[in-house]
Amino acid sequence: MNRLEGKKALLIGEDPITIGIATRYAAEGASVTLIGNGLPAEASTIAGVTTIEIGTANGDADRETIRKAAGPSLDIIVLGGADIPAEADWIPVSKLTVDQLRKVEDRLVIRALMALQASEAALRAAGNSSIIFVYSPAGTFSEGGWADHTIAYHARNGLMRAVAAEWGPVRANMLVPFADTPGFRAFRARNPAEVDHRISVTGMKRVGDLVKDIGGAAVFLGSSDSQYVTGMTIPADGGASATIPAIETQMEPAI
Amino acid sequence: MAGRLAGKVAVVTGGTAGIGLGTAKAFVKEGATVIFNSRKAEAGARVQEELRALATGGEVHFVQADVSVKEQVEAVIDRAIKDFGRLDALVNNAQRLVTVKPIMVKPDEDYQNSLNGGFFASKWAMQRAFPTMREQGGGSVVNMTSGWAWQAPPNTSDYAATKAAIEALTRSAANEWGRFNINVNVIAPFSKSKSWDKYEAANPDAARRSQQANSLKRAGDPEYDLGALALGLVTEEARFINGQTFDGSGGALYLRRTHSATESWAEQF
Repeated sequence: MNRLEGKKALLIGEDPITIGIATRYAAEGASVTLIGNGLPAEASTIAGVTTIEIGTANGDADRETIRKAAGPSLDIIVLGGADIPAEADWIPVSKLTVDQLRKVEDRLVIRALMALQASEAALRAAGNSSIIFVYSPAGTFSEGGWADHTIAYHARNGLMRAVAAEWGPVRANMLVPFADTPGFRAFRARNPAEVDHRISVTGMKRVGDLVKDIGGAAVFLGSSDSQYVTGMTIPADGGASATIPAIETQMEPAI
Repeated sequence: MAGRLAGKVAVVTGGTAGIGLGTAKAFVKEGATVIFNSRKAEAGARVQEELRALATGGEVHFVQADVSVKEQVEAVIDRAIKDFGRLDALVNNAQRLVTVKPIMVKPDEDYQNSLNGGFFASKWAMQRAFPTMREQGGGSVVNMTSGWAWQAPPNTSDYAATKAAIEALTRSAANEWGRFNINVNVIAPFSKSKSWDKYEAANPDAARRSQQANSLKRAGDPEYDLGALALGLVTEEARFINGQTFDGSGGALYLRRTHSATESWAEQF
């Protein structure tokens, strides 16, 4: 532990992944500020984490709040994502309205851009600082049905690549979690056979713990271990993305 | 404070120079016991002393071995298991050098040599290490690929094919062994080395462009960039990262920036 002693981290998000990372970062000794819109009550109870509420608008006031929180020098910024919505709220391409798309893009793309611009000077001042975007299966697998998320996450990927290309030695990477979030648990409860099968054909045959697995990967990406890694999309998924998702390839293992 | 690899045992193949040496240094400084090999006895003995001077609680042992010979690479793994009773991290770094010839005249023998000294070397080491890693409740494997497996230049098809095979082996092992808490990942590095220094001296413009092509604007340091990356991948923090190819090139491989224009345009960033 104490892997992030002396590091300053700013996390923008209210989703369970971001809160799990905040918990792990604080446990590793980082100075952690968590900024979100409608942060859950549990966020303010995490030891060592300072929470700040911002509005939904992408205006000057929120930008100034982030700039102040970033301070003169910032080692890590985590740009949170969104938990899996219930299927009832999924929107296919044929029914997606511009307003619905903008709502998700505001959160996943525009707010991330605003936060990066507001903290640019602090990130550059820290030198080899780390930007971590949280990604989603909606982007990696593009499986259809939740077009608002798929489109917005792909745009977020473009933002990650652009900033990685432009801001060196500041580095930027995408963390793709396969994690036991409330949204995932609800999805699994509604689709037990499909989800259990999906898990059974992955390498580690389990879903990631928010703090130990995903938080751990975020420590790796925020620390000097990964100081020469930038522009990458990095799944923390136990191998799920490295196998065939739908086909049972497991013959009885010989070992 | 105890090192991050205190009490852990690691094997690093090809540990007398470059990324292998950088990785061995990063590991011993964090308290690991490191077993490493080279074909050259003299270099091995010298590096063994160098690493022992850096060690922080772990032991350092050199085994003279050619990884392209199955029995010899197995003997390196056996040294760790028999003397220390465990193997926590295996870094398959060694790669036999290849010839520079176009496909139409490159003999099968060259491909076989490259595969033996890279793909099979990694496979044999992994096979030998696996039962111990499974029995002790987990472990980590880090293999080495190359950007040349993705963007293959002419005349080194044996190398490109070998590195692509190592990536596929990595993903297969990740999915066969993940259930035993063994994570298997692979790095595509861009690192300074003796051969890089020679290349830079002979081709300064090309070397400068190569470094400008990555976002961090520098060739990697074998210890502080690539050794650190291998270190991170064998620690608890990366335990759920499995089957991934890591761009250890400062972003050159994933971002695929072209050499042209970026030097002047980058001033706008």
